[in-house]
Amino acid sequence: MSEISPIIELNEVSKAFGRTQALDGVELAVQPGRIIGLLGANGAGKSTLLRAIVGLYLPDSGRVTTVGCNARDLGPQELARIGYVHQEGELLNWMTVGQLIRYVAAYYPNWNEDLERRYVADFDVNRSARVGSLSPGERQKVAILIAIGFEPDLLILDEPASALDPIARARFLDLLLELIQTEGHTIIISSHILSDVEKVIDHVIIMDRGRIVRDGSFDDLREDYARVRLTALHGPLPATLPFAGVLDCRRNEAEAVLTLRRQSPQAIEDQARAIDCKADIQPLPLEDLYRLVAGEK
Amino acid sequence: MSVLTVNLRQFYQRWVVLLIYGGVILVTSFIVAEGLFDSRRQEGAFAGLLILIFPLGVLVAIMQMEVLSKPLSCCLPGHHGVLRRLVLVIGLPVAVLFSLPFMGYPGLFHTSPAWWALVLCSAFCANLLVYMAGLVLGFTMRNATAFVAFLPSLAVLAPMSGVHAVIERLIVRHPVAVLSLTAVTVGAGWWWLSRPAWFHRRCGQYWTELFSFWDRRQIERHRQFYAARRFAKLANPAIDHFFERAVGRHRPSDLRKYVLGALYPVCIMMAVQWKGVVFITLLAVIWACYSPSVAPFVIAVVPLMIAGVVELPLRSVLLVAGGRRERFLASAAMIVGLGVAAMLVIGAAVALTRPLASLVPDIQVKGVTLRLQPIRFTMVLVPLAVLPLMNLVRILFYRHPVLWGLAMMPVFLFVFMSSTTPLGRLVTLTPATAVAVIVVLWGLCLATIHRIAMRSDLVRE
Repeated sequence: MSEISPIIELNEVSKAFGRTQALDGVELAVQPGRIIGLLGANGAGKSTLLRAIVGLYLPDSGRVTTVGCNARDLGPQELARIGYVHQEGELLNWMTVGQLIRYVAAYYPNWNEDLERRYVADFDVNRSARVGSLSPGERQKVAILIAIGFEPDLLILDEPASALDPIARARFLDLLLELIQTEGHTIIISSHILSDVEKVIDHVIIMDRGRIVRDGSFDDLREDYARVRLTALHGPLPATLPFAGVLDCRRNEAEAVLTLRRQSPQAIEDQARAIDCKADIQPLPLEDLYRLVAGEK
Repeated sequence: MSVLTVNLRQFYQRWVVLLIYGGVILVTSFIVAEGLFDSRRQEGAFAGLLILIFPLGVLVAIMQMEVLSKPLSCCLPGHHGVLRRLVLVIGLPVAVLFSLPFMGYPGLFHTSPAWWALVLCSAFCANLLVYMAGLVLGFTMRNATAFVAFLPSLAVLAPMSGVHAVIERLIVRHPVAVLSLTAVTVGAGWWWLSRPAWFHRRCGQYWTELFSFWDRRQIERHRQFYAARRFAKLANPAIDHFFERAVGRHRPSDLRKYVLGALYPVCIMMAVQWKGVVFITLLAVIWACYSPSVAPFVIAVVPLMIAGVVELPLRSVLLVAGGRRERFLASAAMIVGLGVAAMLVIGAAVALTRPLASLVPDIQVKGVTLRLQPIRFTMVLVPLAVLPLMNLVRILFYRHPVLWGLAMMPVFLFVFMSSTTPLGRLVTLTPATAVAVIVVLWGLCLATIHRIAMRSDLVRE
C-alpha cells in the first residue's frame, strides 16, 4: 500500500520580522482529511504559519509544501484547491455582497452554486448590502462563504468565528461538520474560541513563540490529562492522596478535584479504591488542555 | 488636569503636527525674510502672515473633529464648552502675533495714534476672521484632513491671486468695517459652536484622522469607504455583468482571467470617479494651453491621479486562484494598460487643442493677453514617464502612503523648476534621452514588481 503524501509539509521553516522571530524552525506534516485546531497565544506565530502555508509569506529559511507544491510557486490549479479566511477580513468594501460573491466565483470553475445559495439562506446573508457597511460578524460570514464556495480540499481558517454571534457560530460549526463528512477535506482552524473548536477537530497543534510545542491527535491530548473527582465513601479523605502526576488539586474534607497527567483510567480507579474513594474521571475541555500544555512549556 | 489642557496636549504630542509646524515655520521665515530684505515694499506684504492663520484654523478644527467624531465624544463631561475656549485660546494669541507687523505700517503712526490703534485692532480682527474661515472649513468639509495636503499650495496661490493685497487694503482703509464684520462673525461662530445638535451630528461621524496617512490599511479603508458611498448611488450593473462573464469565460490557466479580474475593481473605481478625472484633465489641459512652459508639470497630474485610483493586484489579501506569476503579469498588464489609456486621454486632449487654438479668441486679464496655444504632441509621453515612477514609489512605500507624496515631491519640483526656470536649459531633453529615461523607468518598475511578486512577502504588516 502506498503512503499518502501530506497535504502540508513544513521543513525547518523560519521567518522573522525585524527582531521578532515569528516562526522558528517549524517542522510539520499534515495528512489529508485532518481537522486541525491551531492554538497559541497572541503573537505565537499562528497567522504567520497560515500565511506561509498559502504562500503569502515566504520563509527566510526552510521549505513549505502545500497541496504537493512549493508554497512560493502555488499556481491557479493549486490555489483552486485552497480556501483561506484571513484574520483581517480585508474584502472589496465598495462591492455589494452579491457582486463580491460573483466576482470571486468567476475565478473558480468548480464553484458550488447550490452550496452558495444554501449558505446565503442559512446565514441570512444580505446580497444587496454593501460589504463596507457590514458589521464585523456579517463580513466574516461573507469571508467564509467565498472561502468555502468552491469546496476546497484544504480550508484554512484564521480566526473565522471571532465576530460571529452564538447562533451563527453554531451554524458555522454545523457547516464545518458537513464539510468534514465529505472525505478528503483538510481544515485548519486557528481560533481563540476553544469551546467551538473542540467540537470539530481531531488534531491539535499548539504554538508558542514561533515553535510548535504540541502536534498530535486530540484524543492523545485528552488521554494525556484527566480531571478526577474523588469522593470519600466513608469518612474524610486521607491527608495525602496517592496519585502521581498531579498538576492541580482542590479539595475539602469529603471531596477533591484533581488534574492528573498521564494516568490510565484503570490505574486511577485502582488507586481511588485503595483509599476507599469513588473516582469520577472526566475529560478536560480543550481550553484547560491548552492552558496545561502552554503552562508546561 | 483640565479638559482644556488635555485637548491642548495633542498640539505638541503628535509628530504629524510637529511636521506641520516645521513647514509653517519654514514658510513664515521666508515671508518674514522677504519683508525684511526686500526694500521695494509691495502691497499686501503686511498681510502676508494672514495666509498662515487659515491653515492653523483648519488644523485646529480637524484635530478637534478627531475627538468630536468619536462615538464617546457626546459623553465627555464638559467637552462642549471647552471647544469654544480651545478655539479662542489658540486663535487669539496667534491673531495678536500676526497683526504685529502692522505696527510698522509706513506712515500710519503719523496720521493719529487713535487711527494707528484702530488699524492694529483691524489687523487683529482680520486675522481672527481668516482663522475662523479655516475653522469653518475644517468643521464642515466632509474629509477636511485630506485638505491638509493642499494647504502648502496656499503659500503660492494666495500671493498669486493678490488676496493678501485686498485684505491689507481693507485693514488699513476700512478698519471699522473689518471690526464690525468680526463682531458679527465671532458672535455667529460662538452661537454655532454652542448648539448641542452640532455636537450630536459630529458624534460617531466617519472621520479620517491625521495619523491615518501613515497607515496603509487606514488609507485603504477610507478610500473604500468613500468609494462605497459614491458607488451606492452610481452602481452600474453592466460593468459587473461584463466582467463576471469575461473573468468566468477564461480557464484558470489563462492569464486574461487575472488581468480582467484585476481590471474589474479599477473600472468600477473609474466609473465612480470619472467626473473628477475628466474635470482635472480638462483643467490641466486648459492650464497647459495658456501656459505652455508648465505643460509637462500640469499634464503629469493626470496619470498621477489615474495611478492613485488604481490598486495593483500584487499584494491583494483576497486569495483568489491566482499565484505569484499571475499577480506579476496582471500587475504589469494593468500598468501598461493604464499607460496606454493615459496616453490616449492626453493624446485626444492634445489633438483637440489644435483646432481650438485657431477658434478660441485671446483673453485679456489685468492687461495681460492670454492666448490659447496648442499643446506639443510630445506631451503624450509624459504619462509614460510618470506612471512607472508613481507605481515604483507606491510599491516601495506600500505601507506608508504619506511617503508617496513626499517621494514624488522632488520629482515634481524638478519638473516644475526645469519647465519654469533657467534650470530647464541645463536639462534639455532630446527625444533620444526622453525615450531612454522612459525605458529605464519602465524597466525599473517592472523589475521591482517582478521581484516583489516572485521573491517577497505578498502581505506586510
